[in-house]
Order: sequence, then C-alpha cells, then structure tokens
Amino acid sequence: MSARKWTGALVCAAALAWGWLAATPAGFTQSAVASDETDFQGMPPGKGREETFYACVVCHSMRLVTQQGLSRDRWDEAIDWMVEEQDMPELEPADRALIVDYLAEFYGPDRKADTQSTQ
Amino acid sequence: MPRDIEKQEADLFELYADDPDRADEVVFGRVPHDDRRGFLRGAGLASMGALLGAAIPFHRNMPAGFIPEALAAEPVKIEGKDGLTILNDRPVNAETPPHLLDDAVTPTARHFIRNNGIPPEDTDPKTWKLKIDGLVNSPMDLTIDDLKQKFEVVTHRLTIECGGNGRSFFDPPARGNQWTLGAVGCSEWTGVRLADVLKAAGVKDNVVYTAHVGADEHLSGNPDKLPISRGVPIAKAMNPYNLIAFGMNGGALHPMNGAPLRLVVPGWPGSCSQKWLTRVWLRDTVHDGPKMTGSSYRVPKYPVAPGQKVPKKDFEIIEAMPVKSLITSPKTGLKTSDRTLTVRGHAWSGDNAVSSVDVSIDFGATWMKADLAKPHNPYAWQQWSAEIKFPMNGYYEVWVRATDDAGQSQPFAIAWNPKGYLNNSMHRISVTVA
Ligand code: HEC
Repeated sequence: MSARKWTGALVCAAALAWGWLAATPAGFTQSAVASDETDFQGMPPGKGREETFYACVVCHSMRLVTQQGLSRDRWDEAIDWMVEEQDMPELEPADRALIVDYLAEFYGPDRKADTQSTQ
Repeated sequence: MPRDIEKQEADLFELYADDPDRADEVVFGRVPHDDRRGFLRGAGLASMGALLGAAIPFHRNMPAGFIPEALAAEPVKIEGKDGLTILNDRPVNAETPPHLLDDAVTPTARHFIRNNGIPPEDTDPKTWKLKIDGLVNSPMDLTIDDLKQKFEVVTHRLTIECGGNGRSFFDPPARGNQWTLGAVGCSEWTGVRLADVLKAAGVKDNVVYTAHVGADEHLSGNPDKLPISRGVPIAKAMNPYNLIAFGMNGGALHPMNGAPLRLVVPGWPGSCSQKWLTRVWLRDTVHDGPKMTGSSYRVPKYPVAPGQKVPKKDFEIIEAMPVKSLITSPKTGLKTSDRTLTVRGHAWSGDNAVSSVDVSIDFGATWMKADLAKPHNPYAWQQWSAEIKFPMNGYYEVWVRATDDAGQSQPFAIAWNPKGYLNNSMHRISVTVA
C-alpha cells in the first residue's frame, strides 16, 4: 500500500531530524512498511475494521476484543457495558452498527477471524 | 524479519520504555495535554494518524507515552515473569501453562497476572499509605512500616485463582479474558492478618461487607473512576488466613502482582484480593463498587442452559471457588515408550480442604486413588501423585478429579453461565505410549 510507504518515510524523517536511529534509517522505513502485516493486531480486513480498531484501542489492546467469540446480540451488550460502565463515549448509530457488524462477522461464536487473521 | 529491522524496532521500544513522553515527541512531535492524554494543539496528531494510515477519532483520550498498537505488535515480555502466556498486554493479563506450575510454591516469575486497569507508577513502599475507615471505631492511616510494627507478621502459602479461570472452554463462548487453565497459583505470602488490623480499628456491630480500593487507574484515564473495587462479607474478612501482604516468596511483591501492598483473600475469586491496596472501608450494606454489580463475578442463582439469557436480578455474587485440580507433570502431549508413568499436580477447594484425588486413563470408566499430601496450611493447594501403568501401547488421556471434605467433586462437563466463571471441570492431558 503506497500510503504506508509514505508514512514509513515520515517516521524515518522524524527520526533523522533528531539524530536518532542515525545508523540505518532505511531499516526503520522498512519496518514501518512491514507493520502492514501486523496492523490492526491481526484483525482481518473487512467493512468496519478501522472504525472498530480506533473505537476500542484508546482504552485497551485489541487482544481483549479479538480473544472473544460473541453473537451480534452479545457484542451489542458488550458495547452497552463499555458505554454505561466504562466511560466509553457513545458511538454514532451508524458507526455502532458498522462496528457491531464487523465484530459479529469475524468474532462470532465460530471465531472466523482465527482462520482469516493477518497474523 | 532481517535482524537489522528487528534491532530498529527494539530501539523504538527502548525509547518508549526509557522516556515515553520524549519518545512521543521524537517520533511523532507529540506533546500531550496536562492530564498526559491527547495531543496539545494537535501537535503530532497528524503524523501519528498518518503513520497509522487513518485518523484517530478518540485522540483526545489517547494516553501519553503510548505506543500505537500498529507498532506495538511485537511479542510482549514482562520483566520478572517467565513462560507466561499473554492474553492481553493492555491491561496485562497473563496465565501460566500447567506444566510450569509444577512447584508446590508458585515462584513469583510463574504467578499469573490479572489486571483490570493501569498499575500505579509510584509504588514506593516507604510512602505507601493504607486507610482503614468506614464503620470502625477508630479510622487508621498506616504505612507499611506501621503494619509491620503494630501487627504480627505471618507467612502462608495461599491459593489465588481468577474467577474466570477456564473461561476459554465455554461453548457458546463467554465474554472476558479467555483463560485456559493457568490463572491460578499458590505462592508464599507474607503480611499481617486483615482480621488483626480490622479488630484494631474496631469493627462496628452493623458492618456487613468490606470494600477494597487500589491505586490502579481506570483504562479510560478518568481519575475519578476505579477500575475495580470489590469486597467480602465481614465474616469472611475476619478469617485469619486473609493477609494484607507486602512479601511474596521471601521477596517483594511483583509489580504486576500488586507491589507494594495487596490483599490476599484465598479461596475466593482473585478479584477479592485487591492489588495496590490503599483502602479498606467497612460498610453496612453489600459493597456496590465496580465489578461487584451486574454480571461481574456473579453467576445465575439457578442452573441455566448454555447460551441462555439471564436477567440481571437473577445473578448472585460468587463466594468460595469450587474444588479443582491440575496435572502439572507431565506436560500434555507426552510421547513415551515407557508403560509406567508418574503423574502429579495440585488440588484445592475454596474454603475447604481436598480429601481425595483420583485419576483415570480410560475416559473416566475406572478410577484409581492418587497419593495426596495434607495442605501445608489451610488455603494452600495440596500435592498429589499417582503411578500409572498403561496396559498396552496407544493413545491415552489422563484425567484427574479431586473431592473435597464437603463431598464436592469435579464435573466432567462445564456448568455453563453467561460470564464464564467457576469452570472446575476435570483437567485432562494426552499421553501416547508407543
Ligand atoms: C473508555 C474505555 C473503553 C473503550 C473505548 C472500550 N473499552 Fe472495552 N473495556 C474497558 C474496560 C475498563 C474493560 C475491563 C477491562 C478488564 O477488567 O480487564 C473493558 C473490557 C472489554 C472486554 C472484555 C469484557 C469483560 O467482560 O471483561 C471486551 C470484549 C471489550 N472491552 C470490548 C470492547 C470493544 C469491542 C470496544 C470498541 C468498540 C471497546 N471495548 C472499547 C474500557 C473500554
């Protein structure tokens, strides 16, 4: 993905500017690009992946999410619990639907993501 | 991954470990708000977002010195811990594979970790303060030195098991950390008796429940919110084996196990054993702190079908943990040519002692008695062992089943409940004799 290459260069520039990692900046560029594979902590690509990632990762690692295998209803309850008990900001209804759909699709009781994850 | 790239990634982690705020600034040009969250004047937000390949909708909440997950996908190592399986790195939750729990006294490096929030940064034992208040005659503020001077210091082996240990075997799956077998341990804890401290403060007649408070921070970063605050009925609190502990296996507590001060309330869900303990207050009502209510650490009052929806009002608080056992040697998957095999492990049961342990190699059709040691002290798990003779070559499962002095024994199947607690079904390992 070309966007990622560009961001790799960006980190590299920041590092160089501070004289940090002066030895092999190219190595770091590649590693940022290599993060393609580890991005989203192994969450499989799909509609709603980014919304889900950014809605959840502010508080905890996605590993707390990707361990689960819950039906759509149970995911909906989980998000209620996050909002009512854990101070999660209320999601826009459209985002919420996208997120619950994504979670139910890949992290349902059959744990489909286990066979599709990018890790 | 070529080695030089690995090296560069390590540098990033070192930088974050040494000085997270500077790392933020260096890598992303980020300066957080005064509360150490968000991005002051948007500095660094664009570059971090760009690096991640997307905008960060909740950037105002993003803690300072926080490695974005996209970059933090490296395997996590926890200093002072060895061989643990990490279920989650933020908050840290890690369990010990059964074969690494073979010691009678669980080494500090092998004791599981169950964190609900962000551990405190300042854990200096010299300045740590514990408050005892609520319905007591004389509230107290105590340092750790005060505890050591005013009260008898005792050491016990005490079993702590997470209420959700074994959750991963639930079908349909239950929400929470997917513990397998190893969210349990029995270390040697040193401290003063909770009962002695409460007696010194003077427990009023109308006390019903304790409420425990720790110094860990809620994951949302809201300083007014506790990640977890649980308690126990006053009768359980006065049990002489509950400790306010400052020592673990002859050394200090591990930072992830609550250093410098924690409760150890053995035999009940680990969550009763508040870590980073700062306050015990006594109440005239069942405590209603976070993770006391709703379906947290609660099970339905009646048996339910797997997957059944249970109304909130039908849940009750978990008290003692059920009878259970573990095979710690050999490791499952053993291939051997020897038809004789010694198997061993531990057995424990909430507030009770274990009175017998049996093993089976024929899927539970017949059982043989294992040798069982008495507990080193009440609430210490007990060691058992058995010598097995396999009649012929082939594939076997070794099953273990403990029975306690109240006549309770372990089931084969899981008594399913919505939040995945109290799985004390039998531990099994596989052995191939060829
Ligand atoms: C404002 C903070 C916050 C946000 C945002 C947040 N969570 Fe959580 N979440 C928590 C806390 C606190 C816990 C409890 C952690 C613990 O005790 O280990 C938790 C636990 C969980 C658990 C385990 C549930 C359990 O019963 O232990 C799941 C699953 C989960 N979160 C899913 C999500 C998903 C999915 C999102 C994004 C849509 C999300 N969370 C966003 C705070 C948050």
